[in-house]
Amino acid sequence: MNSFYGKEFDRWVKDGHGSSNHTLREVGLKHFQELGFPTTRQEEWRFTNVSQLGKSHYSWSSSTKVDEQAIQKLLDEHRIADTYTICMINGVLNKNLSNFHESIIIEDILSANTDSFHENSISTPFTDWNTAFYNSGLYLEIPDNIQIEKPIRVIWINQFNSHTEVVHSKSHVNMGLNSEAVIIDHFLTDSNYESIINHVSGIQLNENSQCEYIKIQEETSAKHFHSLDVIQDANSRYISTQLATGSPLNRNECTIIQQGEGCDSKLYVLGLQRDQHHVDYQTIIRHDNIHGTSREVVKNILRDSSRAVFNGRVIVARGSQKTDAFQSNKNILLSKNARVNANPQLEIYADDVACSHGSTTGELDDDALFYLRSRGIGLDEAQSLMISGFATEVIENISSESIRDLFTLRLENWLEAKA
Amino acid sequence: MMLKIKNLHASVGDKPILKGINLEVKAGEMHAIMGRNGSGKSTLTNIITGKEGYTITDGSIEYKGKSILDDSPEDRALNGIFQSFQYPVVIHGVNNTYFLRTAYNAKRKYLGQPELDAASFMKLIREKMKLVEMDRSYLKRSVNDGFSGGEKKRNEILQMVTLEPSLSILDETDSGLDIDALKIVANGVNNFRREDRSFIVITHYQRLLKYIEPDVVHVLMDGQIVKTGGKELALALEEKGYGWLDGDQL
Repeated sequence: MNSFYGKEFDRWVKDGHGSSNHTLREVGLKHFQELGFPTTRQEEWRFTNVSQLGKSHYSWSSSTKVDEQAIQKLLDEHRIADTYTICMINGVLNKNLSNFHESIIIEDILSANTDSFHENSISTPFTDWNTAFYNSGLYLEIPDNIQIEKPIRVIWINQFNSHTEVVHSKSHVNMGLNSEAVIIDHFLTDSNYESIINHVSGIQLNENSQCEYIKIQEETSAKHFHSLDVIQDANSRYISTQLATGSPLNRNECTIIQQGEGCDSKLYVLGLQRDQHHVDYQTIIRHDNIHGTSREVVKNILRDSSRAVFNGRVIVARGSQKTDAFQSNKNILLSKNARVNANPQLEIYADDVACSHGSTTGELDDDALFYLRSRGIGLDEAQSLMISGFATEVIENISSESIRDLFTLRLENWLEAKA
Repeated sequence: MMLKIKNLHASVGDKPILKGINLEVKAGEMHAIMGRNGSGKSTLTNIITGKEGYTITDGSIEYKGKSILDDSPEDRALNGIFQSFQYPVVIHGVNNTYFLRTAYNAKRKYLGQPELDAASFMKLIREKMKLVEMDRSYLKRSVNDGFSGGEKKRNEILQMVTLEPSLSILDETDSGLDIDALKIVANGVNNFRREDRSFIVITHYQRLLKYIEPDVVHVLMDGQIVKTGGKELALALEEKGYGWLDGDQL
């Protein structure tokens, strides 16, 4: 592995890539080569086995030819009303396919200096790999005092030509003082290759800004790795709703840091898993200042032999008084072969706080099913009704009706595909 | 005959609960089954409506002349059997109106009638709600979520008057109700009485029977009906207590 990625890097540099931040890239490459892909002996990878990845050699797919017709078709199929569109193809901005409000600042991430943003986050082999090879990306800024009403949808379309390609994409959102926006990351692919999407992103919320962040992950065959760092300044509000509808492997590492006082963070996740799909949410919410509130609700519905992993930490730092934190993880198993590994954790180093957490995993409640059936509602419909009800607690938090409808539609599709 | 139960024996696991129940309910009749906790009242209700977890070891249950023991709970409901639950279940995230409409339309579909759209159903349910003096705000909530004891029971009776069953079994409908709510619920039931509709009121106390007058009263003890009489039996029980009929404990 070591020699392959070293040579790959040299070849890539020779082709004229990676000229910016060369030193940082070399450090990333070195870390990646030293650490290699994680093993299940590492605590945070205990239930997500990626050791197979080391057996293949993944090359950067940015040079492969982009099929514009296929992309247009994909965009048409996934149209969402009342949204701005920013189209990223294999990690590179495509202006022709994008349209957005003039007050939104869009740049290539290479020309905006965002590297220091991730300085304090813990690097993983995947973020190191990304640092070494990312070649472009999105920098999106909502200037001070600007409120954008229509949701801004960033569509990440990745096209692959083999099973052993990887896309290292990157984005950074900068929410100016008092700014407000709804930002959607929508991950799509039209290829059936078991390739890798390795995405690193950051969201900076400056004082009194509000970002509603929505993530829709619906690559069907690629493996999806995403590391997201959110940093909040005083009185900022971060409301995130995420949908994971199934990829063979979907790993999310999300760290939210409440740097300023009076921040509010919300994280809602809905995972709909089937076949042998695997979804893994590793979340950290750090209350580093006073008067912060957070609410985290991670819900999974699993059938067939699918699996969900949740490792959630809420950390209340020394002196972060008047913190109010709530964390909940709930899973419904619709099959005997589905599995969940949940590890909710609270770490509290302050005394005047209100924190609670919990995790439940089980089948649909028999008494509730009987109640519905006793009203003449058939078993299948009763189950669907209960599952929809379970998902509602996540979906109802989305402010935009068209996005809510999309989540509901995906849920219905998932229920119908039960067979 | 609306309901005919013959020599019904049932157990939970290895434990026999019902030990030979015989009961006949004619169309238009109001029966009361009284008994202490653990006498088998709820088991009898659950077996009639088809809840899983019970083994019927002997006997039969016929509804409108046909055995229902092999029917699913939903089929029994569609055929006109209704249970008002002692503890109505909370179903988070499922809107109460949507639930009511789904149940109502399941019945319409079963009867070969066109389903009602949201607007038409809204009109219908608002009329029905007046019968149980229920506030409209309960339509917007999740099923039974945050409902008080009294509101849950009103919601049960609302479902009864909406689904219009032939046989309604009211399981401990009086528990958890204050006197005003009790009167409203009883009123809802009384206005729903008709010569082609039958009722079984399951209760521990005589209280509810002051407002809903039974034609026949049965006393259930240790899985058997030990006494059957008119409404005066309920009054006698109230006065003398269950010990009156319980030879061993006299």
